[in-house]
Amino acid sequence: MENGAVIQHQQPRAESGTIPHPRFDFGEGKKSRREGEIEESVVLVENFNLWYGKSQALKNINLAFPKNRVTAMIGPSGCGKSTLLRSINRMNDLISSVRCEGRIMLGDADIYAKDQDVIQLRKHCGMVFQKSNPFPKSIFENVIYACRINGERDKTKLEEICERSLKRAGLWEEVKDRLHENGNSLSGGQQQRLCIARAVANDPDVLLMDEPCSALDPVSTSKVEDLILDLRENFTVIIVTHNMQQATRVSDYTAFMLLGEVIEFGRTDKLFTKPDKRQTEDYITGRFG
Amino acid sequence: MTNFQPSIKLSPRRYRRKGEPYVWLSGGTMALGMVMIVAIVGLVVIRGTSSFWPSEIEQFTLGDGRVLTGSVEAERPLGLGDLPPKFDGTPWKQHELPASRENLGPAKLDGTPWKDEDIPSEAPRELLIMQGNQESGISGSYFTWVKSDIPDLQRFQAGNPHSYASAVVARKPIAGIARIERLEKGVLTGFVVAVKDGDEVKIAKTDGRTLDEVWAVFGQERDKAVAVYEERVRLETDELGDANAEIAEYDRRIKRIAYDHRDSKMFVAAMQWLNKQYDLWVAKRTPPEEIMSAHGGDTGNIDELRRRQLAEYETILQEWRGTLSTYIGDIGKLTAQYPLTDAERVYIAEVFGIMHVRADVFATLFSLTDLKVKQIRANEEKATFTLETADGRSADIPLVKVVRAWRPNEMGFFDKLGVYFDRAWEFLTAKPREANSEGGILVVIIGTLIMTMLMAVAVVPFGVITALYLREYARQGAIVSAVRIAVNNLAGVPSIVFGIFGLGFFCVIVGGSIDSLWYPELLPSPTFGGGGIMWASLTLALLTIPVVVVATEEALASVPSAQREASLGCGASKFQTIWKVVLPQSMPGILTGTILAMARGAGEVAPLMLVGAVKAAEDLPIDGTSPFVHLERKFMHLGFHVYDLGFQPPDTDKTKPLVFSTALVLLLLIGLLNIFAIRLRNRLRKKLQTSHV
Repeated sequence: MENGAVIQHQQPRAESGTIPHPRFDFGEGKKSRREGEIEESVVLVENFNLWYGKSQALKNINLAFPKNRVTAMIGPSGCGKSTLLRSINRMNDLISSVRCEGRIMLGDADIYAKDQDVIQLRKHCGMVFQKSNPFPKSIFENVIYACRINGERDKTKLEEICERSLKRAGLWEEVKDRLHENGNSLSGGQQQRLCIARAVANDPDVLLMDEPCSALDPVSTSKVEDLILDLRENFTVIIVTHNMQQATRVSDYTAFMLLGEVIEFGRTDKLFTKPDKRQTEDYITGRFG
Repeated sequence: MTNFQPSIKLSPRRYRRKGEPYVWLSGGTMALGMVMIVAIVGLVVIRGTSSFWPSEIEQFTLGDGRVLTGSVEAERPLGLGDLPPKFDGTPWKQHELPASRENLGPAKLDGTPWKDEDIPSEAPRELLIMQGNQESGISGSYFTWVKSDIPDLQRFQAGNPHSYASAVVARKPIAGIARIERLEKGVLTGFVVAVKDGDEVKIAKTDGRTLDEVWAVFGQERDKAVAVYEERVRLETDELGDANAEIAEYDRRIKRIAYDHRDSKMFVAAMQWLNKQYDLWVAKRTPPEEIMSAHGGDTGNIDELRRRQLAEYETILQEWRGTLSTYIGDIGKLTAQYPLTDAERVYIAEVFGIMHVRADVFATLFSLTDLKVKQIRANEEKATFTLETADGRSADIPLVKVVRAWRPNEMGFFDKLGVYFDRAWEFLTAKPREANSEGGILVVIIGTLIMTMLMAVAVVPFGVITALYLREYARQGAIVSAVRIAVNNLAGVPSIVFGIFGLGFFCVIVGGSIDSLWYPELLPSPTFGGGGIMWASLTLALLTIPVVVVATEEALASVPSAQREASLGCGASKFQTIWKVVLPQSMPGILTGTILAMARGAGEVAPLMLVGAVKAAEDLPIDGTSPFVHLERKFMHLGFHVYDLGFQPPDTDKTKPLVFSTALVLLLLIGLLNIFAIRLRNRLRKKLQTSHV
């Protein structure tokens, strides 16, 4: 998969004082960026393989997801993009037949290490699902669910977190007067943004989005897309999408996957205009898939 | 142009293919089911509510000259085979009844023409006449089956003289007759002709007073007598009951100390001596009767007399209380006689203390209440009324025994309605009397309620935890499948088998162990080692566990995986996910299971007969005596009560109406429990409703 971007893993600089992350070079930067600018990565996938029972779903994946950027994963159905996304917060653990090999690093922690606390990991990786799934509780309780899980009881703090998260999810203005109504009373787009608010309440490092707009109408979709662009300020966003226009609209980087392999990875504008690989071109021009 | 042609004629084959007959078939099956349910419930409701209606009292003259005065309590059709043939020699057919003139022939057997009143307007049937009057001097048959509405009495007499003896030849209502319900020995039917207080006649028909005037005085005097009686019952149940409970508790503590030192011969001997001495002291108590006869002088004022007796008795009791020490002496004297170790002396000292406290209760609360009760008892039966039966015999009956009296033939509809509700209310709120054949079923209702609640409290957590483990934690495989099948099959085990298990496991093993550990001094009489409401509830909980497990498993499975993923994605552990997301959303399903379990458990009878439901249990499992909750007590249960009333009573005619009333109450109780649970479930459902976008 050595195409589109030259990746240089760098050892974390111990003296930097910030959370050490592997760094990598994307070669050609975005137009607004300097050529060869170094981006900091948050999630690093190394030689990752995954099997459902006997069938291999992911084949030797190597990817790095840059910090405070939106990375889209595109590809036809069954190419393994959702599986890869769900591997990052170990959601695949729920399926007993899954077996995997290789490493995924979050920061400098190997999330598949034996002593890795899955619950802590998931607190650092918020997830938004294809279909909005608010709990049948009040809007307030939905947003602060993670805090409740963590045992937070301070009411002012909870209210503060609720407001901040809803503001980040762009929902605050719409629901601030009815925080104690059932989350299910919201419209579809609002419900999805409520789920985003719930996912960001934990202040995660990474926000994983599994086709977040596939069940939404165009107006709600555009709202969520705007939101994703805003979220980039605070989070690293990884988004799986079937919609290539959406990928071009919201993402900084795009990975194209096919049959469990990453075919091409690179800056979105480059991948969609001058793809290196034949398969990528075929896919984005609609010749197959 | 298309080939499509609307089909106008529907051939039977096409009709069948359309599925129409199956719609009718399933609809018809449901309709049949509905009809059956309505019929069953209707029967129970009608029979169960009609038994409290005060029916008219009539005089029936029978073929053999007997005269019965009573009310019709039941009826059944008379078989056609009992009737002699019609005048033309052909047998009667069902559709010819009630008889008409042409079937009866041109004239009676003796040649006189038929008159309108000779022709019965109803088909021949048998009537159950309730007369009551089980009292010396006026006794007759309590219940009598008679034949009524015979189409041709003369022919009947000639053709079937034996049956004619019990055929009604004339019936007429009687003015002024009263029906009286008593505390004992059933009802009375007759005229109230006099009211007396001792030898003093308050009012009597023989003095030229009307029956109505006597009736009015009867009512007033009866209220007075009952007020005194109720005071006596209160004294007996409350104060005497408390004193008895306290004394029993002291007895238990002394027994416990004796039991703990059963191996020390000296201690046992000392205890025997002490108990003997105590009994000697008790035997020296002046009985209340002695005081009452000694101070029975005629002062004119009965309250004054009673006060004097009470004061006198109090001084006598105080004096007597003081003599206890001369009987049991002190520890020094005792240990001189029975050399005890120092440790044993401590316990003997405790026994001394308890005996003195017990003596205090005995010499004050117990004995004084005893006197008060006996004072009331001595006089309460003095006020009597004279009942005269329709055939002229009479008897004096104590007014205090009268529960309720009415004169149905003088009453309008609303008066009867009053008696009806009064009797229905008594049925719901009083204790059973006369081997359950009279009185009410309050203790039975409460016993059933408590048992059902306890069962629900036991079965829900157990069933839910089992289902949670099976569905959420256990690794799905052969073992879990086997466990699941086993649990489901439990539902098919006959309930009596659960009863046997409950008896063997809960009563004998668990209860027996509790007794030998904590109540050894009371053995061999069991405390927890016999049937009791707790064991009954736990047995029923076992019986209904499959219902809860299956319902809960289904509810858990129906929680969308998206909800679990959302919770796990927020960093919740599996337990937190189950506790905060899965369980709340399964609550309606769990409640459904609980409803089904309660409905099943509340109606179950067979296992209860083995583990604690009894024919008569006066004391409720929850009452005012410490420790307030008595789970070891036996209890009465509506289902068992129905069985008891229907199949065990000395007189089925008396209890048959109560069978239906009790069954109705059982139905209503289960219905109410279900309505409560269903409303709860619906509220939860509304709260959890997920809008599908």
